[in-house]
Amino acid sequence: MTAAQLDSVFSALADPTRRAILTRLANGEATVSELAEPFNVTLPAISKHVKVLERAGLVERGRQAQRRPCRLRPDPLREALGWLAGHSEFWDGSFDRLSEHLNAIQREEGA
Amino acid sequence: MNESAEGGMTRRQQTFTRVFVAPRELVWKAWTEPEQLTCWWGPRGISTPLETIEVDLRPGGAFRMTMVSDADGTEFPTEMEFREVVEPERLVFAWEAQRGLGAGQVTVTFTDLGDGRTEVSSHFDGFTTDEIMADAEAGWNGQLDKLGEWLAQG
Repeated sequence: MTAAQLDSVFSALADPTRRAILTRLANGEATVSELAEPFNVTLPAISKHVKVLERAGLVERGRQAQRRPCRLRPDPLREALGWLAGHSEFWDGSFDRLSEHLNAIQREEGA
Repeated sequence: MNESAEGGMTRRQQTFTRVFVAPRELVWKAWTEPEQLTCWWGPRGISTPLETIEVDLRPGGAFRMTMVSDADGTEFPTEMEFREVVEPERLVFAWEAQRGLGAGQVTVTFTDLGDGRTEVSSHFDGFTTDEIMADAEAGWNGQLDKLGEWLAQG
């Protein structure tokens, strides 16, 4: 994932309505009007949010002319979450190995 | 560092703490000798070859290494500098923006727990592109967790 893609994913995620849409889509596909139901906003407003999510690659829309249901595309989200986890992954991994290393050198010293 | 955003990045602080069953002097050496750093530095799946590690242990001295992905050999050269060296209590190292990462610094504190164990606390303070972290702290962790669980099933 390039820095530009990561940027578009993060800016898409930096909005509570869009995050709620993603959470809703995690439970299954939905049309734009179904997505709009829980929100006190217009259909075009939801449509706009969906377009931002589509551009970020987080959502895709079905081909059927009438319904065009929205679906979550998990891969970019997975990569973005992986990127976010990077920092704690670095220290968790390093600290695990440091612990093993310290045990090993103390065993050697003791032997 | 000031509080304002830098180049679209946000400032973020995070502390990671772990207790090691080893005396403090030993832990300090593990952090400051290249022969030992090569054994543990980096996340799982990443190696840090000895010949790439440079430790000039004094304020202003270089702290460099190249991490290498075990899977595909991708190299992550890392250029840092020591800011504080207080043996065996504290190490501070910092870096300028590089590889798409923001500038930042890490303060490592070594606390002798008096029973042969040492607490190591690594405090990160720097700029990152994850502008949504502020949001995360404001409480969308639950949503993120839910999504994470769902993704894990996929």
